Amino acid sequence: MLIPMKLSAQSDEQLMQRASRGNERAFEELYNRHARRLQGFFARRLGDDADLAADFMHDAFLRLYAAREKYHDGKNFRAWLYTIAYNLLKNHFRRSAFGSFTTEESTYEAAIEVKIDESILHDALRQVLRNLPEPLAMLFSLHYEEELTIPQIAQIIQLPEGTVKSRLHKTMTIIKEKLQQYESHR
Amino acid sequence: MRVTDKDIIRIAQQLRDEDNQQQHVIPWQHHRHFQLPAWLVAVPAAAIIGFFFGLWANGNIDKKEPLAAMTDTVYIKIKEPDVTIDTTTRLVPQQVPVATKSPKVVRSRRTRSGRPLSEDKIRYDLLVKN
Repeated sequence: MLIPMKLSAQSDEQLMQRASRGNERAFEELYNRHARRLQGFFARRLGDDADLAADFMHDAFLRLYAAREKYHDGKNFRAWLYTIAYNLLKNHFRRSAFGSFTTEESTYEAAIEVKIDESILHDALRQVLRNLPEPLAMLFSLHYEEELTIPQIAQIIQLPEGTVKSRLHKTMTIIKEKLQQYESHR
Repeated sequence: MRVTDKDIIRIAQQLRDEDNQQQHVIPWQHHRHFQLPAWLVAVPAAAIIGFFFGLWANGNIDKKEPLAAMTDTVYIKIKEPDVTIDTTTRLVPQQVPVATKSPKVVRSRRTRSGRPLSEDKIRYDLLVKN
């Protein structure tokens, strides 16, 4: 006998499959699962502008809803959602004079050692992450905060996996380098 | 403390959780525009389509001939029989089949009721027979 599974017990992909067939409740469940996290992601990327972040989150979910019938089995839901989110941010940054979205490759390979008191580290890291160049901050956020895999990020930002890895390494190096400034203020 | 990559990731995730907790998320139903249920659209639409189809069909019937003309009646011409009455025809007695006696049906006897005729005081013998 087939027992219908509760929506809350289903994976994102199963819910998206149902939503693609017109199940509104399945889509709402997906929204309830991911909206807060996605809005937080937008808020960090948009300089803590809560209203703008809410608008972007709204826009991302409406685009997802409009494209729900295009979803096919086997597609990773979060990778798809963050592809939409990434493209929205990319367009936003291109339009505004906030910053350039292109990066030039550099050769950072120094092993940096940082020694900071943990009480300072929390606030120091917040400041450092806020002031990171946008493309690197985006990569850091997608990988370490949103916990997407390197192949997923490579698919989202349409770069080779090797490039994503090297940029993540470079980002970590820059973060440590910037944290050193706080080390000297102790 | 010596800050490692893992420390940076751990604290970045703590910051993320703090940020996410502060987000005020509007329910999905508030984002969506009001949508009528599908049946509420389909039923009146079907009724309207049916009404106009009915008008159209009725108009088509009026233009045609009356119903009687539409029946598939086939008229065929038949030969009139050449019947002549022969007065000289002899009558030949037909053999009548002998009726067999059916067993007697036992009728149920009815008991008489009411008064006897003699008590009516009517002269039945004087009644005129027309």
